[in-house]
Amino acid sequence: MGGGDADAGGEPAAAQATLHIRCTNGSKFAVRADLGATVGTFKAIVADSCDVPAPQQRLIYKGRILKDEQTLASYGVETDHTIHMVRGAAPPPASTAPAANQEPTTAAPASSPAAGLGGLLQNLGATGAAANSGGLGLFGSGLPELDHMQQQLAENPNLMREIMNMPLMQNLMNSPELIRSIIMNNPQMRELIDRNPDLAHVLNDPSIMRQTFEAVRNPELMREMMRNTDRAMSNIESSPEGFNMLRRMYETVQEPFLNATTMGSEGDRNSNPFAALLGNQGSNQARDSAANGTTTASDTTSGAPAPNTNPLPNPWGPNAGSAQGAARSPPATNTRSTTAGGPGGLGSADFGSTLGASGGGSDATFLTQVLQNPTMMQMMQNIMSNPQSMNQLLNMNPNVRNMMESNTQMREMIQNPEFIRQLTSPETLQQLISFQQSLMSQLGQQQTGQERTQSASGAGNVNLNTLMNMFSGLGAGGGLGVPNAPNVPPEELYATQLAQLQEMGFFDTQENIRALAATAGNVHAAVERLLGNMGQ
Amino acid sequence: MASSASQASLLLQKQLKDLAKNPVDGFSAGLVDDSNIFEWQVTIIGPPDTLYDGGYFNAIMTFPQNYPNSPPSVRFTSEMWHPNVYPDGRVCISILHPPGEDPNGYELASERWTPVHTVESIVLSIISMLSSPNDESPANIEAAKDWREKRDEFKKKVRQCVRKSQEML
Repeated sequence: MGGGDADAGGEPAAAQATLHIRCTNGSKFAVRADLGATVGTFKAIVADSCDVPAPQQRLIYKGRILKDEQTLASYGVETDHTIHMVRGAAPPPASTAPAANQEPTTAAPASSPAAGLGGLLQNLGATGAAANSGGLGLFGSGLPELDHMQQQLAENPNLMREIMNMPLMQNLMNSPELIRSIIMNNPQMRELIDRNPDLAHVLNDPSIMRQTFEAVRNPELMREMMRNTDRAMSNIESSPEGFNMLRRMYETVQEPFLNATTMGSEGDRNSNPFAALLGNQGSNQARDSAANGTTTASDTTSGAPAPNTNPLPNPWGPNAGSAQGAARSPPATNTRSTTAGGPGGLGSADFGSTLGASGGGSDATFLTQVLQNPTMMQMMQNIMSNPQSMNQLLNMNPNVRNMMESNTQMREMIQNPEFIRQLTSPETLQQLISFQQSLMSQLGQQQTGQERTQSASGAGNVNLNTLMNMFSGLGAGGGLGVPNAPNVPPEELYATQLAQLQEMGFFDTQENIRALAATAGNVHAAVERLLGNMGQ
Repeated sequence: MASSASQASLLLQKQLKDLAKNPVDGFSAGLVDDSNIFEWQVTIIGPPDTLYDGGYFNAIMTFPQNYPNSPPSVRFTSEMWHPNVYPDGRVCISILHPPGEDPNGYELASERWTPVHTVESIVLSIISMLSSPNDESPANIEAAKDWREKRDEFKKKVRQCVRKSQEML
């Protein structure tokens, strides 16, 4: 240090000092400047060597930030020393608040599924599906402004199809839990389900829900279902006890559903069911008078009015006030139960044949649907467990009574509780109905019958394909007349036994018929005969 | 004692010359007063890609007479908001703690001060601390809570410190 001072004293003129500038980006360069100059002046010299303007330069030397007013010498800067330079940034502008508002976006999806689901459930109600009436009422009563949209949806099948094909609706349909929770939110619906446990089974069955949704998606399928319902109603009204059965079903099932779908405060809706009932009653009284004038059920059946060719009107649509529309749209449960309870109107052999024959080809769709309905099972159980009602049903038809007297085995079979339980099981009835349809088609067309038998035997559950096949067979079924008792073919005579054999695993229809004919309808003997043949 | 002080003075003189000749990016160090070799002034440039980017933080390093056997103390003179910096500016990192076992049991003995450390390594450790706060044993409990639970609050306060340090230039 002393030597340095001596050198400085020796040289009067201030010499240019070489200083090294080190930038934060790693670049390094040398600058010649006078140590007596101010930092501000020095920054201007540095600016010439780099692209950083003087105001943005930050010079740091030995832990100090150099001030513009001070001189380089005051900071102890000497030649060959290094000064750090950092580029100072301009003050950043204040950040603006985010302009995006998420609230409107959230509200839009919430309204779409509600509207779509409301329209969906409304149309399900129109098809007579009892399981969905409650859901329809839930949305109808909760959202009054939804009525207009429901009408639009009901009148436009294409719009309904588009809504059903949306991914959102697909997800809704694939989650039975969600649908069940929606239906259970209605207090009246919950009370109704508490009184009728079987209805809860229907509502909780995903397969029934899915089938109903499939029907709503397909306008042709929905129209066909409506036509079948109307035809079944006409057949029921023409039978002697049909009207009483209809009234009973209405009071126990249809009326509570209607009350559950409409709130007490809406008086105009509550009055509709009673007006419809009165109108229906008047109409049926006239039909009863016409029926009383005839001597045979066959004439009454032939004299029944032709079924409607157009789809039934929508009770909740613009024609909500129409008594005829309301009267002719009961759930399928009532239709099928009444048919099962009124075999006298149609001559047939035993109870199983009665169920199949009374349905006919035109009721194939609802027969398959009813088979999966626990409520219908319960009603059949009640009818068959009561000996008096059983005898009444059998005695209503002279042919059936004669057959019962002449064949004691037949009477024993029908009055056997185990046999009745087996007969009323859903699997047996389902196979029986499918087999009956196959046999009826087989009478007209041998080839078609063979194909149907194979497809029917392999079907574990009713699905859309089976429904379509049965629709294609409607024409053949319609052409069949009421067969005479003495000329009943073996297929119809032994329909019950054939169903049992198929259930046991014997799928050869011709072999089964041959064995039953040889053993006069004894299932056990037929089984032994079939097993013996296999042994050979 | 005189011999130890002489050793410390010589060592610090050497390190000071080295830093002047071969500066290290990220900080600049020098004496507060040319007559006192045991007190240094350090300017730490905010590390890039961290919350402290753009800031210039001044600190005073005070070396003991028996350096390098004992660690120096570092105290920020600029306003600093960090979990490992006390409200009065003192820095609390493991390498600045005296040798031996930690009375509180938070750090290993190998993490504490060793004589091999230099001014450069100390300042680099502080820069690393700015990048990665340690909230397990915080010196500033409020800052640690902000860092842990309310990160936005923490960022806002750090930005205030950065802006204030820029204004003091």
